[in-house]
Amino acid sequence: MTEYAGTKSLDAEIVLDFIKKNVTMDYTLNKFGSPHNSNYSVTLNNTFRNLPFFQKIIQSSTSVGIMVLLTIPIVFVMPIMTFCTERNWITNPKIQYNYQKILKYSMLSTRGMYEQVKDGELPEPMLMFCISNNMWFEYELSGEYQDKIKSVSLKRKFITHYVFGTYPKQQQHGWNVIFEFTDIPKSGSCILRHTA
Amino acid sequence: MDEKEINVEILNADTINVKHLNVETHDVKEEDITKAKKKGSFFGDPILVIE
Repeated sequence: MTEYAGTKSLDAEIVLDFIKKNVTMDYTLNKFGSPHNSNYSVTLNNTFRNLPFFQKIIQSSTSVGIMVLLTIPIVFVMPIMTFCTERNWITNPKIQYNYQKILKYSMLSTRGMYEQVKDGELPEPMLMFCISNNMWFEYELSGEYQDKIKSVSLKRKFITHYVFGTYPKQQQHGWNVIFEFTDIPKSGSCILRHTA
Repeated sequence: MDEKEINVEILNADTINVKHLNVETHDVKEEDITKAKKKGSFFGDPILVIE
């Protein structure tokens, strides 16, 4: 057994290159994050943090105001809607749509929105994004991504969870948004926005 | 929430195919297909929105 350890005991991005026959440990992005949260703390371009102080206050107060205005009715409406949807009592799509729009704006004001972008030539006629919830997502295609699109799917993502590290079970772990193309797109882009 | 999988087969949108009692397929208008190739949004419960 051979170990290839980094010289620093810090989080690193690691690349094992089979052509160059080397392994690279990259600590560059550590300075943008916190060692206490190695999975989600690195922030590259925080436009909110760079805003002037008063603009920050106005932005956050507006967001909190919307959150409060939406949260109060949602607290009362949500149990009723959940009760009704579980029994398939809501058959009017307009009610369903309006209710989900309110939930969407509530989530956007409290937890924000994520955006993922893929552009340029793809290695295969398929593109997949992982999202944590299926509350709402929006896609925008351009160039050959738009010309060659075949289907857009929202599918449950399943992974194997080994309970106590031993007993396997297939468990859902968020959702996949899958774009299938008639041929490999060589140019263009795909933007995916979704609730956090 | 009653979560369902959504699958919009853009090329075969003219056909209605009910594969299973829990699977439903809706027709999508030709003009909406053109719009959906550019932009669209989904709600998980499930609603497809083409503007």
